[in-house]
Amino acid sequence: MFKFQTAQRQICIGGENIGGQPGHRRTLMIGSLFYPRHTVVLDPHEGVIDRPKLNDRLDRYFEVVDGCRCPSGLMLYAESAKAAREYLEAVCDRVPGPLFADSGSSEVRLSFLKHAEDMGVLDRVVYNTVNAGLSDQEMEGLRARPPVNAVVLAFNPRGDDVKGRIYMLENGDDILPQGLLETAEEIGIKNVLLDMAVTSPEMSAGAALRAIMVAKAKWGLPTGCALHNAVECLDLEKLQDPKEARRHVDSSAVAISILAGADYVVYGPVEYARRTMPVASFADMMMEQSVRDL
Amino acid sequence: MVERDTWPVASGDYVLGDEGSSVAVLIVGRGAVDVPAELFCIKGILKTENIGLEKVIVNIISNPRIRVLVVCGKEEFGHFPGSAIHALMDNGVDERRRIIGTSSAIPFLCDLPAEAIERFRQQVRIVDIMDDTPAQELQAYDPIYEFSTESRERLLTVLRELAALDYETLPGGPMVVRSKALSGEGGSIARQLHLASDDFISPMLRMPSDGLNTGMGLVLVSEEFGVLLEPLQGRVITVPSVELAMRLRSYLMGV
Repeated sequence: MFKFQTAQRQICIGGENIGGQPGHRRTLMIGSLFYPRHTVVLDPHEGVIDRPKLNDRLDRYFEVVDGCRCPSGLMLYAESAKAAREYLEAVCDRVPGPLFADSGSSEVRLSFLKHAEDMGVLDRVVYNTVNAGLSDQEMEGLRARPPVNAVVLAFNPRGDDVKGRIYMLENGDDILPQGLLETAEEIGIKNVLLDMAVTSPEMSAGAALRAIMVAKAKWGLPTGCALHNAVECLDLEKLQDPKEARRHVDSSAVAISILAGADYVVYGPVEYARRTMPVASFADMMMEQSVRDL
Repeated sequence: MVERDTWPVASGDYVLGDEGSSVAVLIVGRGAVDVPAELFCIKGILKTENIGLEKVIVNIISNPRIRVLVVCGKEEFGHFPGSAIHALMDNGVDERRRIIGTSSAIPFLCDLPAEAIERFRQQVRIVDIMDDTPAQELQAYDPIYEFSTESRERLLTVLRELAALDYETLPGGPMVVRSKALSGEGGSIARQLHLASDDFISPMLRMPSDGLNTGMGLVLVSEEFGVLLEPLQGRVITVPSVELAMRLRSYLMGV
């Protein structure tokens, strides 16, 4: 419903364009694969995958992607460096688009970069994330092998409002010696995606939505969030069918993010694509119509 | 004496000279002149009658040693910053912090507290040696002001005379005012105000048959980061000061 005065940067990762003026580009939809307790993973440490099941899931995923014509990417979660290699190998030739490297361990996240470089797909991998908790060791690893693309996370342990998020990126908000954007530049990251850090509804998840607008107005960089995280923490237990309610709220969260101007949306497990991508497609269409004359 | 690592407090287009000097040199408009650094404490340019002038005030009141402001250069059409500074010293500001009795376009000092403005008026006296050639409306006819040999000599003579005088540091120490709006670089502030003006004016150029009135207000997205939404055009705009942008819009649109 609006247009930014600040020029908006559009980047291309793995053939998908990310960023730009709302309504004048499609929203990138990012789903998680190999996440904790994902049934396609037989052994998370060795990276053993149930291949028939993975193929089945990906077939269904492609059907939805094609049907909704959504730009899409995958968030790969690994628990070991070996698993990271297995997962990358399993999807990099089969699934187009950006591949986000995620793990609870910095060593594993860094290993994604090494494997990607070996496989010649480093330009498709998005490091997830550069954040306030980067250790010296992880910084060293990133400097030694800078990712081409990275998500910079605006999470601020001190302030969960809009200001806290923006200052974390801008100047480190007196917690860090410098802003995370400067850190990303120092590492040598070429393409930055901003993540407005949604945790729980109690942690002011809604502020992330307005922070998207502020961040795009300030820097013009591709910006998004994972509002899905807030839905996961939502207390719906008093309802007759909490699971059903959560599914509807979760799908709506995609539309809410897009209407707030998000360039990308992290919607949760890749299996949720079947209900979130049609919503994204419709929201994109509405946005396109609303800004046609802007 | 103020510390060089904490003063000047506002960024801007200036150079520092002798920190013991009580003289500040202000070049109005788009000019440059080279004078020995021992003859001034700070020398800078002033282009705008709002944020630009606010920066001058903030840097002067935070250094109580400065007691004289030498104003030189040439008036600029539109902004009339020279007129604004004279009117400020003669008349002060009204309750909306608009400089009283100036021909400047948007002479609001809305990012400063009233006591900062009063302190400035008390702290310095103005020595005006501006070129009195009338400002031209079209910049093409009014190129960047070049100090002639005579005007530079005149400035040097005045600065030498002032350097020979004794000054008393204003009692009470420095007054430090910090404002988000004043932290930006001069070029960036001017550009943002220019773009905001375009955004405000564009709807007025539409045909009346478009049927939308232009009286609707701006939507505040973030005061802290100066982000506004102009609802008629659906433009998210960034401004150095939300309050100044509101007044700029009000001035330009007459609403």
